[in-house]
Amino acid sequence: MMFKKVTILAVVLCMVFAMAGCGSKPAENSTETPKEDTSAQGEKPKLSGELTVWSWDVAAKALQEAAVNFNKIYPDVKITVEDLGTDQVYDKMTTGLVANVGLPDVVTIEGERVASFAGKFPEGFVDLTDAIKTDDFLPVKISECKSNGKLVAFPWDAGPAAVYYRTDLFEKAGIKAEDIKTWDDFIAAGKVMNEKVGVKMVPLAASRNANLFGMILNQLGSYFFDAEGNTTLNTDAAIKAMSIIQKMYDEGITYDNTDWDGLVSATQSGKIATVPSAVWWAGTLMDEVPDLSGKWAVMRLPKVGNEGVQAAVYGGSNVMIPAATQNREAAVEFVKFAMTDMDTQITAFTKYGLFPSYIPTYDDPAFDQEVEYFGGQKIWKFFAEVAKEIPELYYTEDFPEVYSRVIDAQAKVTLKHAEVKATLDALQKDITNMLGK
Amino acid sequence: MRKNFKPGDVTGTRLIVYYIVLILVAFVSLFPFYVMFVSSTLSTSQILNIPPHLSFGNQLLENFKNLSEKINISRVIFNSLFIAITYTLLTLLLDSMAGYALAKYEFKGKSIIFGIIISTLMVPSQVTLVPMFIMMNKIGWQNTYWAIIFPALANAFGIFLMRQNMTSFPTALIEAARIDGCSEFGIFFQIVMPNMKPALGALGIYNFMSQWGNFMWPLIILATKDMYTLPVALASLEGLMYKDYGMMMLGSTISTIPIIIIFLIFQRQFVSGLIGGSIKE
Repeated sequence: MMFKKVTILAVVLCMVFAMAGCGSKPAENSTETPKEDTSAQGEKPKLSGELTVWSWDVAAKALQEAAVNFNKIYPDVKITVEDLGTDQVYDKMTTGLVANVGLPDVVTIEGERVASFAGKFPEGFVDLTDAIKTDDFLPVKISECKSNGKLVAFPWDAGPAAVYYRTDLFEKAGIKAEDIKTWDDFIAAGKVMNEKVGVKMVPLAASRNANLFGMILNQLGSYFFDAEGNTTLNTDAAIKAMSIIQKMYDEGITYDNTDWDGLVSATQSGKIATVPSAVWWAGTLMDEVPDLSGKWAVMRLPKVGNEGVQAAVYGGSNVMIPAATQNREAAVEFVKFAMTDMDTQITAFTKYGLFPSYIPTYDDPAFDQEVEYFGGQKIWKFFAEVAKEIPELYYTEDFPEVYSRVIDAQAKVTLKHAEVKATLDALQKDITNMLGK
Repeated sequence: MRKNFKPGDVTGTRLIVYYIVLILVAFVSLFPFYVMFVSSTLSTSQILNIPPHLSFGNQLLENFKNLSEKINISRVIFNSLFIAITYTLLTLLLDSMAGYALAKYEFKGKSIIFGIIISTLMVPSQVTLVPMFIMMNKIGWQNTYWAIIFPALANAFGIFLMRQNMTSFPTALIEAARIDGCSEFGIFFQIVMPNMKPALGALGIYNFMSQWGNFMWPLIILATKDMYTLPVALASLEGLMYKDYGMMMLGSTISTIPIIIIFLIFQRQFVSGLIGGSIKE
């Protein structure tokens, strides 16, 4: 009995000691500060210290490669990239910003989230206004990175949107892509597609997401908010965009894909003839639907009547620097390098599908390629053209909340056949009551 | 209450009905696990296929390769096991000590202390997240195993469960040992604890599982990949645009297996321990 007791205690003690030995020191605890070399004016400043980067997925991989390239110029900066996953980055960022400790030096944030983080934590991020040459980036990305007149994020990948369509199904139905000039033409073509091929024209998860509504709104140079942050959801543009969504649904040309996986599987099994989506959808197609190689092409988003442009944005992310960083100069320098170094940006694009928003990259031969999957179409060049035309749009810190209400409104006008103007008026009133603007 | 209930007591049509119901319930609860196991051997496009594949595929190695590229799986399993086991052993010791004191000793303010302990059950863990995060950073425990194990060591549920079980332990036995000259620790370790095996088993499984599946706190406090526990590492597998379900399912399978093994070993204690202490003899 005594023996047993001693063993248990011994085991517990061993565990305790082992634990003390195993805990590795956090990177953020490093007390090193950048040693400025003031004597070498005009030359590259000597940078050192450690940087921690939080990111996800391909963005993390691309930043890892950026770090390698960066180290060729600044070998003394040690960069650790942590691939956390999107939601995890946001959870950790929120806790860290509230507590004002334990933050990374560099973090990737999706486009529509920049305003919500910067709005809730106005002092939480480094002002990058002086570090960014705005003319070199897509206007839409610059507007995305602005909060209270300051640039709080460095623009990274863009999501220029277009309509992906099945060339074989279009041919079967006798539809010519170049005849589809407006969304009305698109809906008419959808009816033909229904009759002749029996395939739905377009995926629309009416009660789950409002991406298409957002894109059409963006085409009209409008969005949920204006530049001052006022809600603009019952404008003419909003009513027109929502009416198009309603008409699509009423004409029976939509397929309810419910979510992302539903979209992928509907695409795989050939249930839909087009997917209005961003440039990154091309990567998904090539990776997950290899069987349909050669049967896809892209065309411009149809016009809204004779208004607006044939370009919109959907998705994309940016890079922010928390103000709590111990190594601000190195962090700014690294981000600037990663976002504007041609090789780094081109690698991120060709290898990881992150479509740059840094305009000078569009002249690179990588954009001039014919893409076999799309029957030899030069889709990258195509998307670069689209990207430059995207109208600016503005998010606010309340975007996530407003977005979910927009989805509810969309569900009402489609599933319940509510009147568009009345629904949007009610939505506008609802939100202005809630937010005060 | 009928004692020594045996399956043989029910015969004929009733038995068949019982079995049909049991099989249905077992099917409903086991089918998701089956799908998870099967999916871990399929590629993502096979998983998303309609109709779904329900037989094992040949992508297991491929999925494992992808998984090992994304996370250091052996290190992550070690982290999870180490944290969960250390935590479980320490909580068993502390909870039963506290439970014993509250059940068998008389001292001033006993019921108040017990009340305070129980009331902590009502504080949602989200509330303590940020203060705890600041505290851990001040102590310098950020990104250590300690930060996960230590704050949860004295948990109210465990103390409550052990107290309830200890209360039903015959006081006469303790007094007899005391008269025979056994020390207080001797009584606790040699007389009381050996009789608490069912309760300890139940609490052990419960604590192990809660720590094994703990997500939010480890996510917040752990900073580097080599310190991740399984749930945090699994969450990082989900891509933004492309989700490799085969790989994710394999990861989930790997994280489920230890729980299944432990539950199978201790299930008798688990069930009897949870209801133990509810009946006083």
